[in-house]
Amino acid sequence: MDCPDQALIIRQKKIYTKLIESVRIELDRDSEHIYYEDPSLIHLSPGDLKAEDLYRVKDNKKFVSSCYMKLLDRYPSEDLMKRHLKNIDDEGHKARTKLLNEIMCSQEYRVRRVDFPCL
Amino acid sequence: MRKRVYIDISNLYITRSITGIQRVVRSLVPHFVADADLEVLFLFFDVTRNCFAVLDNKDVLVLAESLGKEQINPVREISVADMARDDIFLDIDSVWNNALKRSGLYPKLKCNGVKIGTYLYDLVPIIKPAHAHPNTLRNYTMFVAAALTYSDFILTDSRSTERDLQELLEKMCVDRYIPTVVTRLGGSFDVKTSGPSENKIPRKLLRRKYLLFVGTLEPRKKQKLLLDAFLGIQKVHPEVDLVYVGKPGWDNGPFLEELSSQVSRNSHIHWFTGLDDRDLEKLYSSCFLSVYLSEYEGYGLPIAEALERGKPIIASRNSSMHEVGLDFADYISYGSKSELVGIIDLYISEKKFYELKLKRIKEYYKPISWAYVFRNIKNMLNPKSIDSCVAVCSESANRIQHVSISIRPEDFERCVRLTDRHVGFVKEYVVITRPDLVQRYQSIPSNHKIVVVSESDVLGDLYESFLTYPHAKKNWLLRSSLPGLDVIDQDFVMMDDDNLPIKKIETDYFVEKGIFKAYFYTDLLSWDYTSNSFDAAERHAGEIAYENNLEMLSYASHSPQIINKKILKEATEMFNGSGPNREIGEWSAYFNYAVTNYPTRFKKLKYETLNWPAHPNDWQVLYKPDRYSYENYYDYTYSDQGIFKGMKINSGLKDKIRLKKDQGLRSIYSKEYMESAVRLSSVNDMIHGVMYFYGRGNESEVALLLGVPYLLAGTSHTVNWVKVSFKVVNPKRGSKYTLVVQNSIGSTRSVDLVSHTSYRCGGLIEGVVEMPIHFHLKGVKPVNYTIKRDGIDMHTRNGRYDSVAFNYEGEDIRDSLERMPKEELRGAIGDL
Repeated sequence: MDCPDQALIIRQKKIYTKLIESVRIELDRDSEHIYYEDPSLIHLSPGDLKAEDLYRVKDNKKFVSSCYMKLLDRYPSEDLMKRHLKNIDDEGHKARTKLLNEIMCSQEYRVRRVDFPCL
Repeated sequence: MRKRVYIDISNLYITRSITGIQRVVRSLVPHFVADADLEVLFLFFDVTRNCFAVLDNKDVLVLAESLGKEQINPVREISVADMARDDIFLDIDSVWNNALKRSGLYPKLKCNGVKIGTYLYDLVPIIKPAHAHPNTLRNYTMFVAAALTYSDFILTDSRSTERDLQELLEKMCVDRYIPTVVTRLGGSFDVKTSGPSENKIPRKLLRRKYLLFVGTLEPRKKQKLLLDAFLGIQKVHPEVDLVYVGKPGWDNGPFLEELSSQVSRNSHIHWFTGLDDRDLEKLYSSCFLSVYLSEYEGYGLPIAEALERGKPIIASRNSSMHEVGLDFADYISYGSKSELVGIIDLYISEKKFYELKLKRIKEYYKPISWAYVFRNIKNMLNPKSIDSCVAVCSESANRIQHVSISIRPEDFERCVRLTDRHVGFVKEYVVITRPDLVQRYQSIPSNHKIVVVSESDVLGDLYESFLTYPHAKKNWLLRSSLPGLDVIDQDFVMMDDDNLPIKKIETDYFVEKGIFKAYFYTDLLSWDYTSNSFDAAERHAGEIAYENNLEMLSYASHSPQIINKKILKEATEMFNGSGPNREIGEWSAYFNYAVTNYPTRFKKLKYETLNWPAHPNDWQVLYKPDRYSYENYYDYTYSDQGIFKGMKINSGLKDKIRLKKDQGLRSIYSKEYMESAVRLSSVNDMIHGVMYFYGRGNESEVALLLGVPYLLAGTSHTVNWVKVSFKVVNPKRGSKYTLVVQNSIGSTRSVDLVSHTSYRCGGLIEGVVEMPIHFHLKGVKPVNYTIKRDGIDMHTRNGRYDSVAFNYEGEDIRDSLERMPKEELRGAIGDL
């Protein structure tokens, strides 16, 4: 048996996608500003995530929001999103790598929620 | 060997919150730590190391009681790989906010064979996403998707949430079986938080008469409705204050501004945030009245908290609220200002009523203890063993005893004939009957042996008094005697003589892969009917189930069900322990005990009974069967006036289902039409808040009806039910109070209020009645409400109380209103 069980992961992604759809239908206000994690990444914890997993996200907007959500547990401001998208448009893959490094080297990434004494 | 359970309390550790879910976690921690059967390891997820840290239980106990932000030294690290097969990972904290998302964690736990248990406190972000912060939406959808995919069991705090979950599973096409149990939540602040109290509450406020609303200030909780109502009430009752407790929530800017502005210029309006338990306790204990108007809840802790402190509460009647407030709370059913103003004014103006209400709550409200909540959780973590061959070796158990109580030999013969034909696994029949009918029953032909037992042999000395009991009480006494009979097998199918199989029944109808099936048809709490001993038995079963924190579904589904003798013995002991000589609904008693105490061994399913109810107008149908396996037989359904007129009992199944469906559809359309009218009433604040009816010559005798919509609607030949609370203050001893619904569209109906009374003591009668609105003639006509005492109209001070009833089939109520001739409309609503 695969571990994690790939059939279950596919089912999880399907349910997640359906839930998002159900929420979208239910919402009577504009839901454009709600960034959901890309279904292809939801089974990966920050500790298990490899850069390649993120690079596989083709859509640039989804790539940027995935980087933020997976690594910083938040989505970027509209301005930041615009800036990153422009960079990627201008520089291509290089800008993607740059964004990832920027986040990984950020103070926010390193100290995120670490208010726990060392073991 | 102790069952190892991991509980991630990262969110409690980070937030140190003392309300909401963190209060639940804090309250449960001592029970987990003290339990001898469980080895509980509390965890914190360290995102930088990508592993869990195990905390010392002594430290966690301190943390549960502390208001401070003390750091705890972890004992050791633990990774998911260190967790063993069949250990349990239990999520009871608000883990969707954690850095380690469950969508990534659960697949890994599954790899190791670790069992996953998830507490779903509510599905508000999924059901009412407009009220959820985008971050919550993002995290919660991932969390719920993970739970639906991987959780081995799910805990919920109310039947309402459990029902939401079942509906979501269906909508998401999740067909795997996930055991669920309703735990409810406690209302006490059991864990006494330590540290100096901040004393934020001015003493002089505690001496004032104030209304209290506790809860995060967010649009869903509808604090604005109370503020609007209060500003009106203040003009009439300037002595009253209003107190809000709660942090500012999301998307509530305009209200927060309005509230801040009111607080700064109106000395009677107060707002506190960040209170500790001691201050909150003081506010609850000294308040005049508590209010909780949320639009949707998973549970509604503030309702329990107010009642536990003996305080009256006004709550919204939606989602789980009635499960928490029961008949002790007063409800606004339509979210309108009129209702809220009406009830608050009633509490302030009718001093005698207020005092009696306090007395009722103090004497009769039984809070749910956290120990009971923990017990229900533990039943899931550490299932008790069950002595059952049918359940353990279901594949090989191909013969099951069928047991019935019957005094109608013809009915039993019919039932046996059809059971012989459709049920291939009958081992034998056992029938308990009157002594004079024993021989008659012995002569009934069957493919199987029929063992006939006399009621007198079963009951011995109790038999003489048994003969005087009403039907439902007799049933309870006989069925609760079954565990003592040697002739009864360890597992058996309990049936009634009017339960007719209508297709081939396999064993998996009753038991599958070791799981017993339990078929329910409604919620016990919604059973407000009082016409016969069945109704009384159902209500008593509900009361006892509540007192023992059991689930509260009704399983009198009028079809056979499988019973385990040992569990039946335990259940009857618990229910008989509530007091002798009560009539108790035996199906609901057994199954609610069973599903709460053996949650992993029972699967709760919607009933599959055709012709229950015999007519959709008989009672409010909450659940509709998806398929049919048995028919509930009534003679008259096959008579010339019956729906199955001219049909044979054992044929024409498709036609019968179609006929019942058509019969049901009329009611469904009618109900939808009514919902539309009620919605319109609600948004336009067209609700009678409180109707007052005074005694002739004695104005201190007041009968009250609460929350009746101005607009009603239905389709011809249907009945729609309007749930209405009533009260009589200073009732005349021995008098009969009757609600008369005079309906010029169809007929006049009288409802005896005394028989619907849930509380009667000294000078107060309170109850809830399902008020029937019959629709016969088409058109728009007024419906008038009066209350009679001993047949004589009580009087009103402000004229008549009317609604308008619409019977325009298949049309939208708004269209009906718009195209109605103005004169007709004016005439219809002239008195409103």
